[in-house]
Amino acid sequence: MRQMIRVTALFVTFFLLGSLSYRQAAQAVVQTSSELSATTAPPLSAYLPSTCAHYADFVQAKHVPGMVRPVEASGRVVYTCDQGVLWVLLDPIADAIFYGKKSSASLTLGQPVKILKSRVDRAIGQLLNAIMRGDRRELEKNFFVQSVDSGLQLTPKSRRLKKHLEVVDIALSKAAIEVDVRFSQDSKMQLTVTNMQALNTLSNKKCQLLLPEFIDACQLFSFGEM
Amino acid sequence: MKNSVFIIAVRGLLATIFLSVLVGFYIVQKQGFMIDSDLASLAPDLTLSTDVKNALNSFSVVAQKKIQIVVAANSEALAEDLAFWLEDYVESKDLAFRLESNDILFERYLSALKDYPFNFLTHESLNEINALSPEALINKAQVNLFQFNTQRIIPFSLDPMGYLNNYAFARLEALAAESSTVSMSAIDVENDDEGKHYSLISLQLIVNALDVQAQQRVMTELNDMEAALRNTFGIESDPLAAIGEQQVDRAELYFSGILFFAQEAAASAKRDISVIGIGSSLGIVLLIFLIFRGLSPLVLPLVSIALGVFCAFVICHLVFGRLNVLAIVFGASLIGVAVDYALHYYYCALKWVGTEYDINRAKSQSLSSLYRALLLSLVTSIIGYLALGLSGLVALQQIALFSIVGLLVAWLAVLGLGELFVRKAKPIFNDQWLVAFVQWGLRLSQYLIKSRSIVFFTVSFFILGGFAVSKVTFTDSPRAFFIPSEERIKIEALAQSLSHAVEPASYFVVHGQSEGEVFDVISALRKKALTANVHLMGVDDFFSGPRAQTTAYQANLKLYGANGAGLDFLDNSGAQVEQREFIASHYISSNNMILSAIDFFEPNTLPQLIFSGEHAVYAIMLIKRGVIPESLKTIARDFEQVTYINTIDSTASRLTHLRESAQLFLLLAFIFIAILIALRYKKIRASGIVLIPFISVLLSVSVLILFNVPISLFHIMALFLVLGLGMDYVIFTYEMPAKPVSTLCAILLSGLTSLMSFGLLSLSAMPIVAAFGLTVLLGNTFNLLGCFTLASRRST
Repeated sequence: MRQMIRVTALFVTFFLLGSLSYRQAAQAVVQTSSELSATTAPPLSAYLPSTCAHYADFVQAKHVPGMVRPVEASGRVVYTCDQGVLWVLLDPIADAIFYGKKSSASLTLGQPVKILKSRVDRAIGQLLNAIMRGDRRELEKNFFVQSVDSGLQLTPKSRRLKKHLEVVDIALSKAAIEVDVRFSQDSKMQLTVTNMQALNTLSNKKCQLLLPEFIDACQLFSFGEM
Repeated sequence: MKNSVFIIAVRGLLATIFLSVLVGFYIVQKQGFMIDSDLASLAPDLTLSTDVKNALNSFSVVAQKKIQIVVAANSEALAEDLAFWLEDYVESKDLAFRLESNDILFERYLSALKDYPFNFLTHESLNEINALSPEALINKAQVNLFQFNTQRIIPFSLDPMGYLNNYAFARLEALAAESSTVSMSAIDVENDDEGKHYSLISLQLIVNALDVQAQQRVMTELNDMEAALRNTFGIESDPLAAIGEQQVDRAELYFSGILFFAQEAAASAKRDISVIGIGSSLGIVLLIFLIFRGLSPLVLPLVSIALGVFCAFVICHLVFGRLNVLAIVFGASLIGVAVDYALHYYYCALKWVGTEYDINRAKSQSLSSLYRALLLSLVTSIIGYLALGLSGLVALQQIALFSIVGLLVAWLAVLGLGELFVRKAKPIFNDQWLVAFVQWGLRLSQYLIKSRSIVFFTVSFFILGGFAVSKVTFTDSPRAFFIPSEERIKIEALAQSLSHAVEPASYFVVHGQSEGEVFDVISALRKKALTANVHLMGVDDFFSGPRAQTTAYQANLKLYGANGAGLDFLDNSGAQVEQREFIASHYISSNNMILSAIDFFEPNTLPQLIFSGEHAVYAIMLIKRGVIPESLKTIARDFEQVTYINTIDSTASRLTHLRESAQLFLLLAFIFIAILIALRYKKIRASGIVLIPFISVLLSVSVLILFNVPISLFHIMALFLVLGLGMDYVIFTYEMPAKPVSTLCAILLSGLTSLMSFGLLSLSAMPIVAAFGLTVLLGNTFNLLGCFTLASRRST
């Protein structure tokens, strides 16, 4: 279970990278490969968000053994320090998961809200929130962070995590952040994060403006108060 | 002539034993010495079938191998950091322990599920499949496929709809939450009201927790680890002191597990061994120095004791394959008994035979009497120790064998080698004070004998008063074997509060004619237990039973049967074409296939939660902590096929039985010895000397009762020694009536050495050792007083 939690945390890890601000991303990208030493990693804090409310769009592609093509979905992530993380898939399905400080819930379009109580979801929620608020300690605890030509490379520290996960590559460009996760058992996941924007505050109205296709997802923020 | 032949025979026997023991020593050395501190060997075998006993033992083995480190820190971050650092440290070193890993269990579990992918559904999944339309089921599968928090531990190719994956997740999560025995949990930091933050790390020993050498290795490695941790983090102790000064990192490590109880017991035993060994040796040296004004008379006792203890150690190790620390503790007290032979020999031979030793006079009647007395004394002691062997407790059997071999070899050494030492000795007796004391004692005894009413009154007062004034209480709880330190109890309580432990000694054993029947009973038992708020853990936490597997297979027809929703989902989700064909044919070929949990929990791999016995299938249900035993008994009463077992209660009742049997054996031993004495002296009246140890036994018990000491099996076992030692003394007194003063001097001298050994034993921190020592101390004191009475009667 511990391994599962950590693997799950990995999934979450690259989502945090989607929360980088454009300015931070640009700063990282202007560094040429010659400026990046293979042994001296840039400060991780440069990749982590500094604002307390932000949102971004993403496309996720899961490579599932047995499927002809990667399973692709797109959506939007919204975060505030006070409430938590709202991860919303918009296409091809409308599905939202909210990780609040104390409780978590999921909502699939047309279905009732489901409270998430499992240890896995709790662990994901804690880690995702820590990461979205720019808590680099969480990352450095589990990974060696190294600068490579294409950007950053994260390799697991513990032997047990290595059993499940080989490496996470993060490439930054002006338009997007590309995250490749290679798992030990022949599968991988790619994530492209675009349109990262900082917010001053996040009201329910603002949330509904950000998620017009699935405004019900915003009601999940109320679980942050539970 | 007779004596010479006897001595030659003794020397031959001693040489044979010694040479054989040397060979044995070589074998033992090759195998490696094994000294264990397992107090369970003091507990009698439970009256359970071998199958059930083996299964319960498999849980003990798991528990013994487990140690936990509790990190208490003054900040949550520090508690977590230290836990991660400790995990990395353990992983990177070659230590006597490793991180508790359930990787193999995890892999085996998933592999078992994958072999039967259509047999397992959670209740929610079963209801969902039955209730929803095929379209709704396909929609759910699609959401599952795209959702970002979906974790796959069962591959899509085997389980496209994800229901088996849900089942595996739910089961593993429940096990992680509810059991520390099969925990797969991550580091969680918990906080208490005092501001301490805790994290818990579970380790698995790769050495025997009960082996004293292994304990030392583990303790050293844990201490090194703690030192390295403190050095790395620069942390100070006492996390509570940090409140109000957050800038200082403070943390404490606590180690929990059976190993630490065993290590405490071993340390306590070690202290006892050194106290008793050094104390009695010093006492004996001092006594001999006082009496003989030199240390040369020490050579015979030392040689005889050294030979005795050496042979006892080797033979015991050869017979049992290991030696319990308690055997060594009692072995140390053997010094006080074994030295008797040398002292009697030395004292009596020199006093009676004369200072100018003449080999012809060795054939004298006096020396023959000494040999006879020594032989009879050995036989009665052996009878006493043999009774310990009849106790049925492995540890007491070890003690009995250790003592019998030790005494026999010491006795042979005294008789076989005594002549050599006595011939060279230049005895200078300085026993005027001893003689004066004995003479005074004799006069007092003679006076008391004349006024028999005083003796009668005193003895009656003690015996009747003892029984009447106080209520006799008995204690048979195995918890009294060893009382851990308060700090140890606190640490264990802390570790238990942080982990979700199960009761270590309580189980429900379910039996049935088939696996299916057992699962059905378990299901009913769980329902009943829940009504009493009792939570169980067992095989059904891992797998559904045969009936539920069949139900799940039938429900999966809606998904993977002809035109099933799962197959339609595969058609429309972008799966490879062969996936549909594979799943459809796999479903058909899996018909009537049932996973056997018995095969999964095969012996020597996992704790046996379910197993096939000789006549039935058995399942062991573990009970979560915090349950009142009475409610468990009530629950079990409703089921014919359920037995509630509390190993502590069962052990206590077996100990009660053993104690009662021991009381009877003690009485029989008295009768047997009385008959032996009557036969030896060809006079029924002679058997009356048995009354002295008998009265000593009664008086000892009376004193214990007067002081409200609960009587345990170990008090009764000690009474056998009182009998053995008492018989030693009365035989010498009876055998040599012509020289009462010198005989009593020898008896008093040897009695004092025994009292010293057992007196020190009574100071032990281990209740059973202290019980033994106190009883022998009291009994032997009364024995000595009785000898004076007997000697004064014989001399008049």
